Amino acid sequence: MSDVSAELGRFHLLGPTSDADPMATSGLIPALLAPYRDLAALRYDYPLILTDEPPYARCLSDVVNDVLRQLAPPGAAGERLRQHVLRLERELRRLLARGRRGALGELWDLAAKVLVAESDEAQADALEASFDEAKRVLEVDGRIVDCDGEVGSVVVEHVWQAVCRRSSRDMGRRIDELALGLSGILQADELRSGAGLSPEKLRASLGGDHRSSFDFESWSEIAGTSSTSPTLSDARRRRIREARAVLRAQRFFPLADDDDHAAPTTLDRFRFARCADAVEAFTERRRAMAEAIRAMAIAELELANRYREADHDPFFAQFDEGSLSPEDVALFPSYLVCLTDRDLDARETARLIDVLGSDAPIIVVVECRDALGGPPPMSGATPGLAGPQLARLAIGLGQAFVLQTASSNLPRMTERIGDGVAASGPALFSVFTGSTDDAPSLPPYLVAAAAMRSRCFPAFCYDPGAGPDWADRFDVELNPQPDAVWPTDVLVAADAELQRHAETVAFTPIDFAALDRRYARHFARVGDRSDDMAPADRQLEADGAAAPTVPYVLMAGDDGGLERVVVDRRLIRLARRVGEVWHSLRELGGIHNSHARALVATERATWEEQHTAEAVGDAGPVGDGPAGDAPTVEVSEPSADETPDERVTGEPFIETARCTTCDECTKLNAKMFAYDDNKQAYIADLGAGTYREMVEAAEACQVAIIHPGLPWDPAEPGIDELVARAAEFNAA
Amino acid sequence: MTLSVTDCLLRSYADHLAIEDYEGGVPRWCTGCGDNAVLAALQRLCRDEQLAPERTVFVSGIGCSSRFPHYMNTYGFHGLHGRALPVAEGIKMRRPDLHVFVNTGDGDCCAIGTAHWIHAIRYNMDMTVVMHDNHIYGLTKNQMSPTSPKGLPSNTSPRGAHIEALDPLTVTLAVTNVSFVAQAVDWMPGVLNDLVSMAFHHKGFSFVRVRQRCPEYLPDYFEPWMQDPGRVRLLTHEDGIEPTPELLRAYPNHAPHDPGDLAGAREIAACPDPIPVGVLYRDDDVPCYEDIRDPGHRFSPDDIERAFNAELDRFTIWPEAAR
Repeated sequence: MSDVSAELGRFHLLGPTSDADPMATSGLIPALLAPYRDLAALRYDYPLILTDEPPYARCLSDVVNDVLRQLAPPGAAGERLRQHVLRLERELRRLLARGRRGALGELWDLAAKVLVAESDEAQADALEASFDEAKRVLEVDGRIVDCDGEVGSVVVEHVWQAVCRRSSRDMGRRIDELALGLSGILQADELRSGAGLSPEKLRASLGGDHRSSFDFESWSEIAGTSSTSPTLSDARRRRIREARAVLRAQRFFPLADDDDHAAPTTLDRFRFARCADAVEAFTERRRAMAEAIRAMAIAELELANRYREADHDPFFAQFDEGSLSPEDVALFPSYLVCLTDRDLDARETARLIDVLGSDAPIIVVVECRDALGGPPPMSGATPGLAGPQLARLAIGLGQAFVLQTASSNLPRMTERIGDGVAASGPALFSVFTGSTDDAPSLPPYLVAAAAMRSRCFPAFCYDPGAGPDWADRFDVELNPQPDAVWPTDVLVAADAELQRHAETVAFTPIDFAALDRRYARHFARVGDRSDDMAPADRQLEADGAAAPTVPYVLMAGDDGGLERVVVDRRLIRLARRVGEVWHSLRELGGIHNSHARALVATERATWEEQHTAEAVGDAGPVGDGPAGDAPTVEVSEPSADETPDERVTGEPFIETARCTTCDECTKLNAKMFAYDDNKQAYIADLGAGTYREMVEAAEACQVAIIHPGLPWDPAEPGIDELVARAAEFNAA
Repeated sequence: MTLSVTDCLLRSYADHLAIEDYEGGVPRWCTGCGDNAVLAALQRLCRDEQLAPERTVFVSGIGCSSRFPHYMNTYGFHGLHGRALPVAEGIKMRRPDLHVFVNTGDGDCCAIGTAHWIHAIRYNMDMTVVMHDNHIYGLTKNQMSPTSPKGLPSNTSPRGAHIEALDPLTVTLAVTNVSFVAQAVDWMPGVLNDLVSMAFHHKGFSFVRVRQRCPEYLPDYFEPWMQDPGRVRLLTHEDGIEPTPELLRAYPNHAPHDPGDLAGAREIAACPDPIPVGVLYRDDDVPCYEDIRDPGHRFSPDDIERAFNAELDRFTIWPEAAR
């Protein structure tokens, strides 16, 4: 072994031996991330345009692509417009990177102005025309956001607002309708009452020119005496008025004539900075919620004309906040709490766990800035139960909707966020923002994507309302290559002879740790390549200390050049722990589930045993019994008496199911023939009529479904002729 | 939308309505008239769906079948000849919460009411329309109707009808926005029940043509079809009639037909013999006019008065302004 190899081996086994390690990874990033170092030059998932309707957010690139599909025909004809619009997209990204914020339309105009100002006079007009034309077909507008440290709470809050506004608007309309319906009942009652029929009211109801032609006193007298419609009881009138007053006074939902109740400001009362404040507000408002639900239920029953005082009065008398069902609570706006992992001290964490274990409709979004925790000996254990541990713990509580994702993945998660916000009960959204002081040189999007790709912050979703079992509720398919332990990509680079060299490279937690300057001392740069090294992912697959070689990861410098960087053993241990957590998540998600594998193995063994036994059995008789000794089945001949139709042929009958309710038979003899619950005829009482009537009914029946049978009174006059007439219908 | 607590209370103290609760006056139709079968089918539907009588409206025009609302213990509107559909549309527009049914005859619908019929299909408002087609004007005593077959003698065509009949199915299937078309015959009560039930559950303008007997003026007209089950072609499909084995045995001429296939429906409708029975066409995605025009909220009497006054004020000469 060379000296270099021995030194690297010692580094791997013992770690850094001094505070200032000369081989730290300054200026290097994992090789797979190198092509994405300058995101501003790329078209990728960000920025997002937030919209009010699902999916609640669109990628800028998708929106621009839609515009180009509409306006720019393929080929040279559309090329100029395409280039102009793509330039504008790049300028938009630059503006955002410089901190400009606003709506898409607003920034579009600004970017257009900048580009036009920068261009020469000859090109300016063409640019301006292209930008105006493209803006005319823009189908979306809304706030535009980039992938920064706050994007998690911004996106979740936006979706929460959109969902709550829509449901509040619907509820407001419903309450308006109910209040209006109750007013209609009261108004109808008033019109029928003595006051409603007073001469003054009748006079006011008639146009001016003809007023003098009427005697309103007499009209009132006649109308008052001839009205037979009962008026409302005092109790019912009071109940309706009270319910209407509660509906109009409630402050949860905007009503049509309620100018001060604009939806955006209403939701401010439901947004909090601490869990305790949200819980307190929810608890305080439960009484008002119960009153609103009670008034709505009374209104619905009144409008359906189904209110029964004897049954419903006692029920509503004791209806209070304890009577609210989860379905009732879900009708009201939920409560939003936005936190960062720095807010989660022991007290706030305890409150958060209480919330997630309750059925309170509290949506908590936690922005995580540390997916890995500090370096050894505390690696993987972030203080205050934040990071990836929080969402895993929340799953165990069973009641809460839980979504964990990196901010780079948010564009694909917005509809799921909508599901979580709309679900009844609590929800937790844990978002790794990638904005951290420990990786300052890279854009947050890239750090977030690396956290998810390395499995340090895997994406998953647990939706307790999605079904009864884990297969329905839990999903880890949101991650890149979920079947693999570590996702891989093909890395193409030039080798020492400047020849194209392709290599499959895995992305592991070690690559992610390489972005974090807290871990810099656990890497050592290798000057020359050594044959005694192996990629770190292979080391992770090997069995602990038995790993034969020094592990390395491939990293790239500013110039794009690749080099190997050796990793110490502590990082390998950290990566293994991340791998174990990822493995357990995959098991929950049904990927390489150990229980399923064991069951399959057992079933396979059982099947093989049976298969072997059958093969042996097919080879010939093994027992002592004589061949052909199989049990026999005795088949008895059906007796002559057992015909399929056991109907006694002499008995009259009607094929009731075919009756068309034509009234022929029932009008002939309404006692003999009657209708059943479906208004179809049957023989109700044979003794109530004669055989003649039975035969005449059969002859009159439009669909020939009456079969008269044989006479039950042989002494009836003309019986022979009747039997002959009946024969045709008996045969049918 | 109904609250869960309201739903629980309604179910806990539900009144079960029997078929008799939907019976109004005693029908004056002739014994043996096919209208009786339709009446029984719709009363069964109301009973099975437990429709609140005060939230159900039957609307009709003029003719034998248009006496229908009198025989239902629900709200009803026995209107003008050919004008059942506009009345029903007005009811649905103003009260979309009501269950609206229309009973119209072959004369009421296909002669004087044709314009309303065509545009009602196009408007696709959520209502169940049963067209009682007995091919003759019975109420005016044996006069030719638009669906009377060529050659049929009547008091107004003693030498037989001179031209081919209008086919309500092919016409309906040709109109923009058609969303549900079915055909039944009154002598197959089980299928008739199923079809009116499917029509009721379809959101949109459900048109069910019922071929039915007139025992007074055309007593034998349908005999060839009634005596020969092979001359009824049963259309089967999971989105339409799902027949029992007994029904398939009784009506051996059956064929699968996808109600989503409009061209197929038109082909079937173009061959009236054997009589196709079943759902010819359905499209649940056609928007309803009352939904398209839904203002999003109900107007209070004050709103209506304000709007009314504002409209009239446009034509008012104000003495103050004139000065």
